[in-house]
Amino acid sequence: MKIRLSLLFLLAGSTLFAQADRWQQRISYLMNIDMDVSKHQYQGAQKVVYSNNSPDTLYQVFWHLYFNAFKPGSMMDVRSRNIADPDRRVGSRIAALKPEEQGFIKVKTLKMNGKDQVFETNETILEVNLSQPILPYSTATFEMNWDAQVPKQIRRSGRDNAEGISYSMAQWYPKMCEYDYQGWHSNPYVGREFYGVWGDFDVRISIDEKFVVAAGGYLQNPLEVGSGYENPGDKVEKKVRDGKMQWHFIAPNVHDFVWAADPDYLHDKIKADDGTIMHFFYQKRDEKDKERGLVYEKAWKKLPSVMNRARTFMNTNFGKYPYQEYYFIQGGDGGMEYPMATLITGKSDLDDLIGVSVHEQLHTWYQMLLGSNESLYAWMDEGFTSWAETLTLEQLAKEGLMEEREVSKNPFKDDYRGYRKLHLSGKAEPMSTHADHYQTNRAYSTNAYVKGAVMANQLGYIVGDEVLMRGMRRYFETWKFKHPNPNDFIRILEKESGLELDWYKEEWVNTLNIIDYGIVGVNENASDTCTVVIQKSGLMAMPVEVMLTLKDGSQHLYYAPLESMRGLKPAETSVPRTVLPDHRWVDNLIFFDAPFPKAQIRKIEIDPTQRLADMDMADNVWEQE
Amino acid sequence: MHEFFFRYYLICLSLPAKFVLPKYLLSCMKLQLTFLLLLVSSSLFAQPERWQQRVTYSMQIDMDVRTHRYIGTQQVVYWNNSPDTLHHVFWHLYFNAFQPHSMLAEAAIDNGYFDAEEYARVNNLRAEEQGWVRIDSLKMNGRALRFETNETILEVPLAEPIPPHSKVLFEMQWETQVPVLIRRAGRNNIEGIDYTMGQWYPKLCEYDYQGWHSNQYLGGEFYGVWGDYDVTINIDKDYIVAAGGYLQNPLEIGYGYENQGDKVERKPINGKLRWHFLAPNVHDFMWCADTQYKHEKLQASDNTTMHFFYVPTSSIESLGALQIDQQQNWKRLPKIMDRVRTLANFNFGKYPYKEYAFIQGGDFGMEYPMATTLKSRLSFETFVEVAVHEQMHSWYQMILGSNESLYPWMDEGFTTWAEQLIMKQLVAEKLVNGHGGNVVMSYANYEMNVANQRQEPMCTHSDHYRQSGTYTANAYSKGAITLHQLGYIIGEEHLAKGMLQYFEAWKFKHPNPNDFFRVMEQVSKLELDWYKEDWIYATKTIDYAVDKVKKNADKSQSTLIVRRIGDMAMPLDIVVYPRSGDPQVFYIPLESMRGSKPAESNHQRTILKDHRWVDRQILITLPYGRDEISRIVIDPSGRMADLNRKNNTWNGKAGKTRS
Repeated sequence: MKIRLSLLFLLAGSTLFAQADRWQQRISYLMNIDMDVSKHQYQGAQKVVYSNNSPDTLYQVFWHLYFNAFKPGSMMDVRSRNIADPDRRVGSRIAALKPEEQGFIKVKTLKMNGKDQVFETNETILEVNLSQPILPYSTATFEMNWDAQVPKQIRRSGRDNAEGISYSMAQWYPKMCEYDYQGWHSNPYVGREFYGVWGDFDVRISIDEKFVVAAGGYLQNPLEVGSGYENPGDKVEKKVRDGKMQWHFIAPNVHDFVWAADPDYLHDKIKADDGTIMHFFYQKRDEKDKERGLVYEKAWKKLPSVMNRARTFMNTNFGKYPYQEYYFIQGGDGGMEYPMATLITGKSDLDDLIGVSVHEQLHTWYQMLLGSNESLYAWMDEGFTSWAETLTLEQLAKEGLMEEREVSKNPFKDDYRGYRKLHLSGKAEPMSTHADHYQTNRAYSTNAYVKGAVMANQLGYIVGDEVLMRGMRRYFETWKFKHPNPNDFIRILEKESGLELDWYKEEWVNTLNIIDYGIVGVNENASDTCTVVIQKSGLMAMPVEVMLTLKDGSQHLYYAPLESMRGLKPAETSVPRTVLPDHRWVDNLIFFDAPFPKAQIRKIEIDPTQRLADMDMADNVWEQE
Repeated sequence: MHEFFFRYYLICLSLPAKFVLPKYLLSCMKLQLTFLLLLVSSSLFAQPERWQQRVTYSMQIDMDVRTHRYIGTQQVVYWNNSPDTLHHVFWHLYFNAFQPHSMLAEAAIDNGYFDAEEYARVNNLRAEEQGWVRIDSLKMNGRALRFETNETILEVPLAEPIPPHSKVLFEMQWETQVPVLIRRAGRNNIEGIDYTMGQWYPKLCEYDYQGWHSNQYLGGEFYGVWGDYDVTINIDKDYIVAAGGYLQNPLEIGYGYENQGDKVERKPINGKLRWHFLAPNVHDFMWCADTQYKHEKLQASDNTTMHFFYVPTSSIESLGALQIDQQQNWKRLPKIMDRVRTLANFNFGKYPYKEYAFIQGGDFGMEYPMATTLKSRLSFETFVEVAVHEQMHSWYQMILGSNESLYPWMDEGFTTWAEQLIMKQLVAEKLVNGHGGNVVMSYANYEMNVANQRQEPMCTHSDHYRQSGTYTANAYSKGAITLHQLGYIIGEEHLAKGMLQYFEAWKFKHPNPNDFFRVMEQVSKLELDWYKEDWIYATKTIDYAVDKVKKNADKSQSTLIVRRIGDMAMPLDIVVYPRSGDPQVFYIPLESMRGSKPAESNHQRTILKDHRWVDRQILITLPYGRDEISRIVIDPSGRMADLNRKNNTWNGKAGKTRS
């Protein structure tokens, strides 16, 4: 795509633009973890400084206790067994967990400002009725002690994953729920989305000396743990106490903290072109798995240079990565994003490994830094991430950095196909649906990933790709670390494009209305001109772009802006463009005259860029017989 | 708007009522007594600082009643209180919708509006019957501006942008032709009123945190900038003008505007009288004019002045089985409206203006600030119902002013809810006949819409529904149910308290759904996001069933199995009626609420373990042997929008009563 070449100089300073004044809570965690690898249990202590920046008095607070989901009969278990199309990784596996395989977090004590608090564990949510309310614009300090058991890996986190990684420690500690202008977000964990309070983490993990620990943070004591964290030539003096080493990480301005541990981790490190450190943790090749093992190992060895290139592309196109480090860690059950880190399964060939690494890393932009409420607006995270992933992978393919992936004429084709397929199946639900409450996993994932990616790519059709790219960066600069909602996003694109876009949000996100345009007539006129007739069959109206190709190969673009936009996008190519009168959304027919005899025309095509999510493409092209 | 509502109402009258009128409504009407002590000051509760634009209009209108045209000038002071720089501004030019092939006409025909035929008349209007607004000049701070009329929207790219936190002066001159009345406004309505002047002047579009709201007029919703209006109307001296504002020169006008005993001196100039109105802090201004208006005035119990304008007729008509006496309708209205106002002030928040006008005009019932236009060729009960409905719009549309296009249920639904409560009370006080309050109709409409598989989410933009019937079902019926059902979820007392608090916290501030639910969360101390998400942003439905009552080994107990069939989970009130002894309530809070509502009756209530939304089955151990139970009912109040009520009841076997 040509877009990217012209983007370098477009980074606009966010200070130029006003933004909504939205308050936000703030937190810092100080955690001490003492791991017992023989029982897969740990003892934890946390000191949390919580700033209530809201104008509200808080009478209650809540913590997530995610590991409690991994018990037979939990909400996650019941939901998985009731839903028509359960995630294969979960199915009814939770119901079959034996006591020593289950997960738990047992909160033992909780104090606020030194005073014991009454609390109740309601599965994955710790409910605390405060002895004293937290007043607006004040700070409270909590101290908590708890015991946890790491479940056998079912979904995302746990011990002993399918590839033999000992510990994938995600959703592993009591984490405070977010409180924002929509109130408390104390949703029980049913295996889906995340939303958190931004803050600073300081985490000390004591674990059997045989383990290597990787985490989404900056290691503070490399000379005490080594394992490749030290700089070349540094002298490492491992400090072992009672057979355990302590790993000390800090992670500033993040809304979660992940770690993983395995005795067999290899650790590669590069200094990327943007000055950040990229870490790669993966398992030593299994001697029994000789042939495939070599493929995996080779892929992991090639990954760093590709990720370096990908990062540069991301910084340029989507906004600058603001942290100093990033970890690609073998673990988990597919690919899962965390601040400064991802857990990915590692027994993949290069293209798959790159694909998942790019996707998860891009979540840093839309989930870690923008941090929209995923449960409510899953498409703002997964959709935008998928969109950015496709652009990045296309670029990598173009530069020959992928093994098999080739440059595609329309890299978003599968997204559009997936969206149409769901709609035609009759199972579509509006994108405004809460992520936990979809009737099928399929409707959720199609909306979140696919319709979300189409949302962004189609916006390029509406405002122009260059404006879209500028808008996405402006969105990032304006809203990073602020939990934007759909209106915040659309408003930025409105400002960047100078167009009204409320109608797009209202119909694409809040309804199931579809788009369907077709060429229904090319009529010869007396005066060597012809009239092209376009019919709108879907309820959702869009700007309409029609490419007319003559037999001599010359091209002419006809563009009818949608009246609701109150303006038009800039021309995107050098093909001569005729701007037609506004298309009013109520109109079912659009006519325009082309100053050519019908016989001279070879082809007429609605949106040759195929960015328009037209439901029925069969009538989008007219060709001279 | 009341029209859709009423037509639906007629359709529904022919349906068998599926369930009896919820008993709670009777108790609702005791609300008033318990409300006195519930007035809580809004200052206890924080609310987001949301900026808002501000406007003042000064308008001078010169009407020519022969051509049905007028020449207008307006000076508009516009405060940009937003943090944004405005590069263009927009005005509504509503009357331009009444021209052939306007978007209003095309959309109506396309979507099969109830009124499609009426709207289609627009396509056949003769030149002198059409409506138009022609802008002659527009200046900002003295400098001429370019502008373009795009049907009902005037698009103005500004020569100089309006910076944040600044104000500008616009001066506009225009000419208008008043269309024959097709929808809401125009001349010569069906009851012969000459001028119904709603949506009659160039009105600035609202700009808020969601950007410009410059939607074309399709006969749908309204949204405006709050401000002060100063309007002078010059019209043929034979006309009597009624308006939503305070007349400033009653002694030059008379016609009942003067106080008793005041000396009126009319000074027509060129055969015209000058009417000068002020309307402070409103987002629209409406007036009507007719040569035959009779004007009656009432000092209401809350010390505001109520005006009634109608054309007296002595005839009594028969409309089907109904005897219609329009004059009696108008004669009987003031006393009832006084009572309605007292009820409304008490239960929904204090009416903040000094006057209100009930004006014969328009095409059914339409709400405006400080005024409503009403048709009166209706049965008395219906006439009162419409008058109550339109007046209640003062609370939810004029004073709260949520964006109707995006959240019509916050206006029409809440207004319908309030109307239903008031009608019920009027019937109880024998001020009107009839059953009072069509709560049953709201539920039936909603259920019919679901049964016909026509549901669309309530977050759909009003203009963009696939079916206008679904818009109506959502805005009016499901909207009213949103509140009746909220009473079920958080308890009637909390609902009543919350509605007052919502009004106090958000009046004159354009609340959105989140603002509403946050107030309700704070009042009830329950989490309600799940209700908003499932009920408003999705089309989930509710159906619980009593599956079985099983005998237990312990003969003094039994096990009740309740099944969740619908996708949406709800808290459950289950009432067990033993063969002897008092009924007992078993209350199952929904886990997502993180708490329980207070008891709503004097029956013994047992609070059971939370119902998790994932669960499809709930087992309850009852402290009765199965044979001891006469009946078990899930939600006997009928407030929960359970789609299949037949399976909500379990009856013990007859004849097994132990004596």
